[in-house]
Amino acid sequence: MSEATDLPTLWRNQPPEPALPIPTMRERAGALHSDAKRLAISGYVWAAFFLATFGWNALHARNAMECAGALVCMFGAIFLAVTWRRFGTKEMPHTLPVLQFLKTYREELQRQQHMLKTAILPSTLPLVLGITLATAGHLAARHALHAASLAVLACFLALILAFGWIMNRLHCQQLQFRIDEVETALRDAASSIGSLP
Amino acid sequence: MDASPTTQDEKFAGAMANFGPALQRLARGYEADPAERRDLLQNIHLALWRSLALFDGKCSLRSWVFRVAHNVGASHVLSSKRQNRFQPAILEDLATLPAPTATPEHEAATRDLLARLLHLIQNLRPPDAQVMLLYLEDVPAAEIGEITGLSAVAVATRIHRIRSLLARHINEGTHQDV
Repeated sequence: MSEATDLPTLWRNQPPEPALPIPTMRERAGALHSDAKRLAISGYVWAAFFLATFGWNALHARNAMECAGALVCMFGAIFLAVTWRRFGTKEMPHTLPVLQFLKTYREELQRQQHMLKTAILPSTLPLVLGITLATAGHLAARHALHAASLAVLACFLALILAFGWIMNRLHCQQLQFRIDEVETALRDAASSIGSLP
Repeated sequence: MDASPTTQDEKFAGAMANFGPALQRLARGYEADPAERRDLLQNIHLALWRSLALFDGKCSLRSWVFRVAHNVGASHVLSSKRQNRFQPAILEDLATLPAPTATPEHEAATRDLLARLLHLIQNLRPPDAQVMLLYLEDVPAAEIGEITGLSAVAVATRIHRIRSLLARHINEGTHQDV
């Protein structure tokens, strides 16, 4: 067989398989759209939950310190919601040439990683500060009965914050791994161009 | 999805009529595992259907379809690499790769040749595999450049290397086996 004439023809003569029907395609596109919406809404739901909890605490605070703590926590919750909104993954432009697509993909991954790295401190600090203030305020009011439950709540929130911080670090690492893969793919392409005689 | 659904569906139906089989072959070039390949092909179809809402005819439909398909394929390869399922070889290393062992003796020479070709493509680095897949689909060099983003000279050089590679790897194997 002569390669130049036969291989492309042989390649193009492979038996076809059935394609995805258009109604199924619509259904899947709709499901993808719903998933993205649900993800965006979940951030707001969590923020609303925290706002309601800390708002209730602020209204029922026994002293100014406790009230200030709850208000700072509310600010932290709003910041988290805004961060979550900005983090939302952009849709990738699949219609670009492959090299440009890979560069855009890398930029998007870097943007997400940068956001994760820079948002962790500003979003957790108000919560930590707020919880500390609220706890101190509550203790200052000498509500011995509530002190124990407040300590439990503070521990629980501290655990949540620690878990969030660990997840943030892990996600950053995963993103770095993906960025490295894209870098390698781009380097592969560039090296082939660079190896021209 | 903001374009008229009928127009989008019509465009998709037209694209599938013209390039459906080529997309299946492309998916075969990117993924050896049948189940993964089915998923990849469905992702390509979905991305293509969604993208056609934006198709404005500034480039040919073929370029558009192949761009979308190769970008989804490239994402798939990156994700497979993340799961350590993809081990590409560079062009020069392929001469030392063993021929696929799954070819039964009673299979036709054509099938054997296709298996060798697929094995070769699936072990290429993505930029080389993309050019080879497009070359096999008889896409002109200039259009390969439009699709991949490589320069015309880079595409020409790669095609030259690919042809030598095919002659060396495929035909030598064929003469040994058939």
